[in-house]
Amino acid sequence: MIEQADEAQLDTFQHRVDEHGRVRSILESFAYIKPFGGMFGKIVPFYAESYWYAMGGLTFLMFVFLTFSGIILAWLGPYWWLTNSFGQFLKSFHYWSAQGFFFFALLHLFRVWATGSYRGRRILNWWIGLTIFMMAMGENLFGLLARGDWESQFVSMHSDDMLFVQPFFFNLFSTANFTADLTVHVALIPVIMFGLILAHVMLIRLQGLSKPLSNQKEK
Amino acid sequence: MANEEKSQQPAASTTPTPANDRPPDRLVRHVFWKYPLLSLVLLVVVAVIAAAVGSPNWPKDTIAAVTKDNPGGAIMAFTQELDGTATSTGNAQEFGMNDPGQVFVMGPLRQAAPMLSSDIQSAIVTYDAASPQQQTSWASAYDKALGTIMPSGGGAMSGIASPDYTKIDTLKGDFGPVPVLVKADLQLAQNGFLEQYLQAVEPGHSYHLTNIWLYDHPNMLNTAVDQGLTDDQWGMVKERGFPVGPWYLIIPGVFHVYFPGGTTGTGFVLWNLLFAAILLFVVPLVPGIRDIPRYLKLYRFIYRYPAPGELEKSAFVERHGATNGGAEAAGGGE
Repeated sequence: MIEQADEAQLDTFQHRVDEHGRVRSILESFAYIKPFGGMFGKIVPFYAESYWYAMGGLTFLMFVFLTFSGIILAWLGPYWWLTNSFGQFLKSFHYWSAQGFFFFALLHLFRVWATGSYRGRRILNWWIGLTIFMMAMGENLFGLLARGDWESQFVSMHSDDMLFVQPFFFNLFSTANFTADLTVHVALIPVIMFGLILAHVMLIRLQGLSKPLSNQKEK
Repeated sequence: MANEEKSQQPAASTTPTPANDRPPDRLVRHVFWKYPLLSLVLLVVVAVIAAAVGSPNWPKDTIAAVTKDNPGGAIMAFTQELDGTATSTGNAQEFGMNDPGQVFVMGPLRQAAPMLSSDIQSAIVTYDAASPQQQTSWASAYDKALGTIMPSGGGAMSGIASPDYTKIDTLKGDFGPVPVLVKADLQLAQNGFLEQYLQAVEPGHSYHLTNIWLYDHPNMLNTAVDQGLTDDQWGMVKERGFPVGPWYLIIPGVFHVYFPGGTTGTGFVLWNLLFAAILLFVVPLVPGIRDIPRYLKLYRFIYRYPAPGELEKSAFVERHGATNGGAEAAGGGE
């Protein structure tokens, strides 16, 4: 059986090949490369070996898709992504990755709720996760504003009229400023989100997976 | 502790039954090897959807195109900027801009004056020489007169009506130089001068003033109404000319459409904060509500339960041991 003490010995490539073959060992090698390998929990309780438990990871995968496509889009600029055919494709890739992000994030949220994984000290991670989700909605608005098409024009005026007259924005900011929208979308919100995602994953590593719910008496 | 757990799971095959739906928490190696495959599949899926379906990309409005399409609306917008009833006048402080009458009407005219006819030049002089009250009263009178040449219903647009430009020269009244000024401004708008001027006034914020002006013109809001994009039409979850919008904003969308005050900024923010507070604190903390997942038993569809005899298979025992490791060994537990 796998104990934490001999986890390191069990993690050697040769041992993993013996356990489940060369192909799988190579595929999963990304989770064992130092120093980042330490971030991955190599063993899980049997009940968590379900695709429902992969939804958070797939949400993060969408975040990675969004980051890489977003860097290229920001690098080459709005004229390119609105007119060049590859630019339009990459903008669409970015758009559908965002759709995927929310799709998987909502499935993840459902899984966490339905398994009661917010119990006890894990409530801290519940709060962090919801904060990430709310920031993602803000990121969504600024992405819409930064797109540079008709919808951006209309929503910049429409949301300016409605949201950004609130005192907490101190009238410092107008969504009619395309440059400001793009900056917030590219360099402010995603950076904070990335920090929170790291904290989210670290806490899972520190606290482990929550114990399963059941109709049996709590121990 | 370990004995206790073992005694609770005497048989290895703990399929979910009403008697005991507790899954084994015996430790297994994480299936990380599936992730590269899943990533590849999702990369292909997202790329194929992106290539096949695309994304919303409706061309931007330009001041030149909009003012050619609807010159009457432009005349009305310029006049309202002068008499202080334009949308931008009400929001000028929030937009961080000066008096829209100066920014959108007089500023561009003064800069273009050397290229304009002597009639227009003298109209600028006359307007500048008049008192602010006189200037407003001329513009208000003209604004009122424009209201008399609105098309009498039946138009395709269901939003804000625009004056009939072909009847513009029939208007009579004490308008001072205002009709000459706004007509000259219309020309500057139609030939692209106004757009370039407004982009150059604020370097670094090229679209700031052009967007604000386009919102003063009736076309933008009318288009939004036609496309079902305004507050009462679930505009928040829709895109122009594209079937899939931000569906995940459905809950803020419900607040926006149905809840009292949801269309005002303050109301919308407060409803959303209330909902966030419920998710953050009520769902996980309030006794009874926090226990809902335990009673609904949806977790039975989520946990992996072993097939009968699976935990006894020699391959499984060889890899993961015959006993239950417990979640604590993975750093888990309460």
